[in-house]
Amino acid sequence: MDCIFCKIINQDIPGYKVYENDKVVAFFDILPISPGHTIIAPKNHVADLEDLSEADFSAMAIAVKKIGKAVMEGLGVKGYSLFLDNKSAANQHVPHVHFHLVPREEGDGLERWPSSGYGEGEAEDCLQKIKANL
Amino acid sequence: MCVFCDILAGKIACSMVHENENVCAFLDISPVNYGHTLVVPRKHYENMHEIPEEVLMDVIKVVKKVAQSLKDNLDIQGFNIFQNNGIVAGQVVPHLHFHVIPRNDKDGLKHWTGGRYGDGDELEILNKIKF
Repeated sequence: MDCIFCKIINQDIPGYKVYENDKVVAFFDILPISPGHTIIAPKNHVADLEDLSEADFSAMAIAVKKIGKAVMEGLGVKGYSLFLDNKSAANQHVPHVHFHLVPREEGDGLERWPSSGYGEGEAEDCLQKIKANL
Repeated sequence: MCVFCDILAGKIACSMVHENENVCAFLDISPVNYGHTLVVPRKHYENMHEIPEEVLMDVIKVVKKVAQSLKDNLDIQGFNIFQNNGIVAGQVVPHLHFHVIPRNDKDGLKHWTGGRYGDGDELEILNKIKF
């Protein structure tokens, strides 16, 4: 297995581990966006969210809830951002599904992406495409 | 008053992508990219602290289904999932929600970049958080 997260999970390479249970491991990102930036990954090697089981994804979310609380209390920050990048077009660098938990502070300069409204009829068109198999 | 509660109560119109007993998914009226969808619990919880584990599991299942549908039905190469807790994190509506944002190779969205910890900083931070 040539996956860097699997190596960290299996302790083949060192990592600063924040939390671990039977399904999930959380460790520090070595290139933190802010201090305490934590990666939450399933122990099973799965590249994409599409192939992850509901049980593993739920376990990741429950772990986030716990880690988020520990981060806010431990670091005294008032919030955090959580994100998951799926596929390289979305900035996924390690093909082992993972959440980033980034502690946030006022004035940290991390900006939201710009957004705009739908044009006439575009939302309806988009909705029909998405709803097709839900 | 909560704008998401108003949407879920039908007082404000929305483009509903999917709904079930505990969770709704609808198009963000101000999308980062077309198909940008918000997934929210019907009941009002402000953030990850407040939402009970069982409701979070219901929400996360819908997040996964919405992401799959975006991938299957829109011409996209990936997606991001975002969830912000607290005003400092850019949370605008104080009703827990996940953003699912379709991505294309050439959409030009810039990502936050990381730096390195100074000597000993990583361990010091870890000791404050670890449990």
